[in-house]
Amino acid sequence: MKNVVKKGIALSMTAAMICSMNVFAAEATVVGNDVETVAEGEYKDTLIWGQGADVTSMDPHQGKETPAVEVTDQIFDTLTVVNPVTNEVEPQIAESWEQTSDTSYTFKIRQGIKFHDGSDLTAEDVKFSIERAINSAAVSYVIDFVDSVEVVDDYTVIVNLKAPYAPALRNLSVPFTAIVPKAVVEADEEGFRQHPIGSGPYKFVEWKQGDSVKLEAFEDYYAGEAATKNLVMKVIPEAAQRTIALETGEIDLAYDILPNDISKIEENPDLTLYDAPSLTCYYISMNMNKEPFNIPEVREAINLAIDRELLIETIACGAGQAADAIIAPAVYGYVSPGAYEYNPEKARELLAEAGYASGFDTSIWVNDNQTRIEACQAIQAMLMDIGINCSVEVMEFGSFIQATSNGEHDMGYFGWVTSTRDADYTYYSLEHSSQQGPAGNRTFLADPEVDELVEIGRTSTDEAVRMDAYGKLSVKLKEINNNAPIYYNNITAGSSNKVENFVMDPIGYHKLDQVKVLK
Amino acid sequence: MYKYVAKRLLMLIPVLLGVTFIVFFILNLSPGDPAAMILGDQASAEALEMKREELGLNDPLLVRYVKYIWDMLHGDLGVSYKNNLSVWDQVIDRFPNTAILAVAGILVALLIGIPTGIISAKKQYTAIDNCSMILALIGVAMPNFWFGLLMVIIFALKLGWLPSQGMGEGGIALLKSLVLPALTLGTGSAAMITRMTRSSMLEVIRQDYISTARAKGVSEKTITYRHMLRNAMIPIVTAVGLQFGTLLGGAMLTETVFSWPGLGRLMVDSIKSKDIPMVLGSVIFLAIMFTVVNLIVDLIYAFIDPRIKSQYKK
Repeated sequence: MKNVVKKGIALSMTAAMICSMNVFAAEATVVGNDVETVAEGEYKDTLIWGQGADVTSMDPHQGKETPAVEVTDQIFDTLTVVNPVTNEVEPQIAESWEQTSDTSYTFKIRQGIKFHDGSDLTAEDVKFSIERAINSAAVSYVIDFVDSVEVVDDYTVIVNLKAPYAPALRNLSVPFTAIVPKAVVEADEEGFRQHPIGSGPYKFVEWKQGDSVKLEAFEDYYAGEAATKNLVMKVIPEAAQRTIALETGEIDLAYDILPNDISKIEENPDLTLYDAPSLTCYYISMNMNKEPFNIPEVREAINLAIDRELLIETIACGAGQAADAIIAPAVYGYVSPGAYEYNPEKARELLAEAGYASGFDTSIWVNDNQTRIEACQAIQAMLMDIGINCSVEVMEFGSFIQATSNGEHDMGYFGWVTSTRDADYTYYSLEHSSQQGPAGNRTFLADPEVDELVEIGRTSTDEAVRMDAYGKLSVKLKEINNNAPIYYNNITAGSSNKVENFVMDPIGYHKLDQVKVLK
Repeated sequence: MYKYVAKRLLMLIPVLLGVTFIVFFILNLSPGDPAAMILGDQASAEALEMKREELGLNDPLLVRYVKYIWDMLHGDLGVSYKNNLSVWDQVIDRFPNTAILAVAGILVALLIGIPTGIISAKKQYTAIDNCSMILALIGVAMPNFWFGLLMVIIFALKLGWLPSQGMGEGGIALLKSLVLPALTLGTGSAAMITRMTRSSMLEVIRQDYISTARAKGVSEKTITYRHMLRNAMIPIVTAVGLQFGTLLGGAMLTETVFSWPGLGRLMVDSIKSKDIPMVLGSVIFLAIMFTVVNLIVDLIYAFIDPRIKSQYKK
């Protein structure tokens, strides 16, 4: 009898375990779509891409991190858009615009654009969206140049600026300024964040947090239905695993290939590697309020002591380009002031001229990111070569930002993305005297000529005048040497050879509505 | 028995208070501003201040802690700093995924660990024993992520039998995607269980009652399973329970290597982004799970050993 009871218990425990597995399995089945179904014709009806992190927020006015935008950029559209190949501003939701004064733009909204719930996109939605983005702490910095938005009629809005602002149209193309449906957001903001509704080429289907996002082509998209019916984003945090998933054919596209894996993709005849300089620049900011960084010769010596090519070859495994300015070549307004020379001999002479023939003790601060730490360690050795005894101090990101904003550092190692693709975004924040400290200028540079050039670039509506100002500015900054631009890292992606029409965006927000995958 | 269970469940309250107190203060006193973490290095000072105010970071720490506990007692674990979604919903959303992996992992561990442990004990100091002990040592010492990657290279990349990552949707796809992470998780635990089973069995193997049973002519099978294993079971159940409790808390490395959307990964991501409510929520859930599993282990003792059952009745 006892045995029967025991066997009963054992059996029921086993059954419970199996049942619980079945229950969970059933739950997973209910939410799943059949990803592997294949469309008629020669192309697959589903494109699967892998990225390193999950979406932080489906709300475009909250989730500004690249992994979020990689997804939300398929769901939402913006007033304007920048062509990733030509870098020109093109119409999207706004079919045309006119600058009516230094501080005012009139936008004509394209008629017939529908949101995914079937409602029409009108001027009211545009006004609501811009105001919502301005009020969002996460993204206001790209759009707070807007003073007010007036609705003229259903398809006309006037955007008034606080002051003349030349990059306005480029800023309005940043995905964090996306147009959202006023009625839906006002009715249930929490619901909107879980089930976003936009006017972009793909509509939202499902988000399994930490796992995947599913999207489906929006049949009423104003520019015509997307080339592939379904998109699936898979979160694959390990970079090596993304490459393996690409090799096994589990995914069609993989973002952010590990430098170590680049050769693996290049050598595989079934795969294609996409590789181009990004809009991110890694640089050292020297605190000009502190000795000896207030001496121009010292700053120049540090710039001359850094072997950028060696750093890229070793730290970035060759996936980068030596920086000659603090903005990357793909940014509007980039003018090369000429490459930085690597000349330790001359650096030592300059140090001697500055009165530091036997070098000095200093430190470089960096946040706790392995690649950045390694770059600083390499720079430490290079500086040692010209007699500068530099320690590397690693800090947690929040403390790093706080301390460098307060100007407590000697040198800091930073990375900066020109998210609006316009030089003003970087030059104004990092070089203008009004932006010292937390706003971005952590060299504490205050140079009237630099300020003037930055302001011309910021306010002039004449493209030629802007480019001329930025040309002069890049040369001037190279003379001042307040920052030591190190390198632009490459943005990479890998795909199966069956993937067609994939165009890599240097900022990482790859649009996928024209991408097709052969069966 | 019921009284005992109720008492143990009531003990959860001080445990949870202790856990929240420690984690809350460690997270909040560690350097770094969550607002800067969320908004990144390109946010303006005004935006940072707005964010701090929004998150209530400008209030004194003790006030924030009391408020947190008050909300927690009302079933509100707050919203994530990162995505503004409910912490509880996200934890509950991830838990089934972790539970599937944990159950599969522990099954693998039991299937490998107990038979190997029994054989090792019965064939002590033979080649089989030495081999299994060496393998167990390797199993314990081998890092999960390395073993996981190795299996991916062999079974997914070279042989193409199993998916390299992700959680399959339903039925066969789910089972296929479960094999490699469950084996990765299970082998580490199996090694531990093998060693525990072997040493527990060795303790009872030379007891007088075993010799008596043999003298009575009881079959070797009955001696092994009824007399030896049952008496050796308590430490094994404890080890299995602890392993299972840990696995339920999320196997961080395995989940990361296999892109498994479980609690472990949620916690790692939250720690990285200093998402305090999310970390607290996950830790509280983990503490509850661990306590409940331990309680279940204690109750299982009663079924294995009548002497313990009689103590519960007191």
